Amino acid sequence: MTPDPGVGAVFRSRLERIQANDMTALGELFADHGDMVFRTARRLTGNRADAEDVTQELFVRLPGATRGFTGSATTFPGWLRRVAVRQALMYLRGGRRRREVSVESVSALTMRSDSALERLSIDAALARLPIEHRTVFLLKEVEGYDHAEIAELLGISIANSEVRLHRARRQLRDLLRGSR
Amino acid sequence: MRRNLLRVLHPAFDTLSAYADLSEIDGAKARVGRHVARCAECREVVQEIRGLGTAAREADIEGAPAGLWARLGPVVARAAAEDAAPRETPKPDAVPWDVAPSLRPTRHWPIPTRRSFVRIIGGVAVAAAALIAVALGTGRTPALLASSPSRMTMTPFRPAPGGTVHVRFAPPPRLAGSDELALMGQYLTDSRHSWKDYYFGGVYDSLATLHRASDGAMVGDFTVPADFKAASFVVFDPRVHRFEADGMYSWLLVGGDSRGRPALGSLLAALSLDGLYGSAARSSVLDTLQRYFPDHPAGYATAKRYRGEGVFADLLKFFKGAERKYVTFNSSLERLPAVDADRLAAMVDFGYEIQEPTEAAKWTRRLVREHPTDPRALPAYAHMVHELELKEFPRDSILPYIPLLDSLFELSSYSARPYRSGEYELVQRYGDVSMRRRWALRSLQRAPGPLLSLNIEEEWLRDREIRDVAAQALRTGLGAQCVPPRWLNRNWSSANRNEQYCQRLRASARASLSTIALLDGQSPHALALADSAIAQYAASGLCWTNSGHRSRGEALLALGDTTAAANEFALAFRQGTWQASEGHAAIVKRLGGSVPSGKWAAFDAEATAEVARCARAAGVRDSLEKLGR
Repeated sequence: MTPDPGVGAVFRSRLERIQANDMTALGELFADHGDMVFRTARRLTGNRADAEDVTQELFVRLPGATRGFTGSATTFPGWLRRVAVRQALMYLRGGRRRREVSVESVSALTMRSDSALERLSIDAALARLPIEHRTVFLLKEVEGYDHAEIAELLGISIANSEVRLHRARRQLRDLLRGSR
Repeated sequence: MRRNLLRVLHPAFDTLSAYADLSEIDGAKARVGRHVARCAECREVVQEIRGLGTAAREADIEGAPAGLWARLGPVVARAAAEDAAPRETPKPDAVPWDVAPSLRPTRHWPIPTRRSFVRIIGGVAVAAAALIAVALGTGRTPALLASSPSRMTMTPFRPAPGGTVHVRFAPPPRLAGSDELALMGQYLTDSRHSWKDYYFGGVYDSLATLHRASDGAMVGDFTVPADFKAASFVVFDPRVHRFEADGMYSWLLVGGDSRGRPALGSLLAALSLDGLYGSAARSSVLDTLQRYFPDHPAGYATAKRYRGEGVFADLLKFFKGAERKYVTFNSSLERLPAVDADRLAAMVDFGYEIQEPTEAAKWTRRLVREHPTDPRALPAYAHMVHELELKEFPRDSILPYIPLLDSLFELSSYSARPYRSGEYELVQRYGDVSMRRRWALRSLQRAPGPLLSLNIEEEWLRDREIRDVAAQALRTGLGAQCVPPRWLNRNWSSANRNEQYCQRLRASARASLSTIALLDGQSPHALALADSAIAQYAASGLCWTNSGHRSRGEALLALGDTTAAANEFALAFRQGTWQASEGHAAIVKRLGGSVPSGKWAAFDAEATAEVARCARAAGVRDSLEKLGR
């Protein structure tokens, strides 16, 4: 199917407006893709406040970053999602996570002694994984990166990426089984 | 028998996990595939492993909360406006956005799986030899410094209070043509021991004029004050280009004693500079604290375990990791009946750093109990309460914590922030009306400097006393010198951009004063102030402003010109902006039938076209500016 040239022109025009720091265009982009960016960041950071920070940083940098985007309207969402992943990883790596909102960190405040009896959702189980395991699991299983890409993204070896994935799966399985 | 044999020979979980990632064809070829084909138990495990991925992909993750763009929009707009200036050429080791964000390479340790265990044991001798070789081979200059285009050195390295410092600056190529440079400094002293001064601007003292020496370096001298603790520096060239770092190594001078040993108070003051967070200069301060004051938790509280300083150094750091250190400090400080505020504040940080908020809460309570007047007590306590809030504790269980926030504000020397702080927001969410009003009033009265942008909600301006205080604060702000914050165009900032920043802040202050004038019943004055705000926004290169047009619309409405007001509101709540989503419908409803819907459509279209015209003109202007440079 041939893409509609009108759609491409509208998209290019919006991109140019974004590059010129046009807030209307950025607002439109947020309306279209903000949910996806936020969800991606929320998954990787594990909490809403960090996800908001990541979303904000991404949209602050977007006018500059889109100058390097050479694809089309159809490839843009994929590109943006990868940028969101990288932004979230940079955020995590920068150690700037909001301490007050780390899911793991605050779980101790509320965790009841019988919490193991509750049935855990996959999201809650993921929140209990060490961040390095959770990140690899999400990159592989949700974001669809292969181990070579994950290794490059995280600055680790491919073997390490594989081991982290296996450990994440084992821990998740144990957590979910234990909660049944 | 066959079943028992299969059980004994079940593949390890990791093997099944790896198998789960293979395609059907590859899986069938694999040796483990043949086992899985025969073993129902293993097939179930593989299914479970695959199910984990499916479950994660299908998990119902919340989307962006409603109104997120309304919150982020202004921040993004401000950053976009302020960051439009070209940056300094990226450093060779800076990481562009489209490549891996590995700012610091992670080191890897051998992972003793069962299969590799024997090999690891057998290779211990070789590994030890390699470790020593690596340790010898990795004593290197930090890459950030080595690759920076400039270098500033100060002698003595740690001046005593009142001492003279000799500066030697090898300038980057951009400044190579200047024969004179101005060295400006911002001191942290006993009387100015606060991050706010540093991060939000404050006044720079002119320290020295740097002259070109015969070897090409720029040199000069200055004397530090008698109550000197630490200082940050910037260098301006005659065209007011600003530099403040060697690569990513911010210029920071920490005070010492007469023998050049670092002073604890100076190091702690330097750590309080939030603007240095994550920088190499901050790491250096932490290292010095660890080396000279190993019994103080501040050196470890926010230090990372790995620094990428080489395998051997990292290995040593591993064995004195944060958690271990925390336990040591915890046991030694916990039994003391009284601990100084610096240590307690460091332990609070430490608690959060090791992801143990209950530990952080324990030390927060001690900080508040033992040093309620310390300026760190209130933010730490607010942080602790916010943890409960974020875990969605019921409102009733948070309310009992709020009165103490109020008491701490009264007790402490804490000054309000130039923006709506976390503690202010907590009180506005949970406090009763009188407490909320008190905080709004205090926020204006205790603002750290002249205000150009209100740090309270606009609704509070309906209160006569608050309105008067706000008006006074804004008028004082308009009369004071505007100093752009340090975060504005870090490393490089033109006078033009700084002026734009100040113009926009002043315009914002005039828009707020217009609102105040309107509430005071001075509609013509309000209109004049709104006009002035819009003109100043335009002069700063901003094509569109919500506050200016909104103020003008309200003033016109008060003067009875509904049609002109609607035109202004159409601009203020222009379609496509974050304000439009909530504001546009509300204003249309408010003006009711007095403005026909056809008229609204025309105003909206005109507003969009006008802003587009302005944006195109601004784009051309920016291009010409760049060409001119």
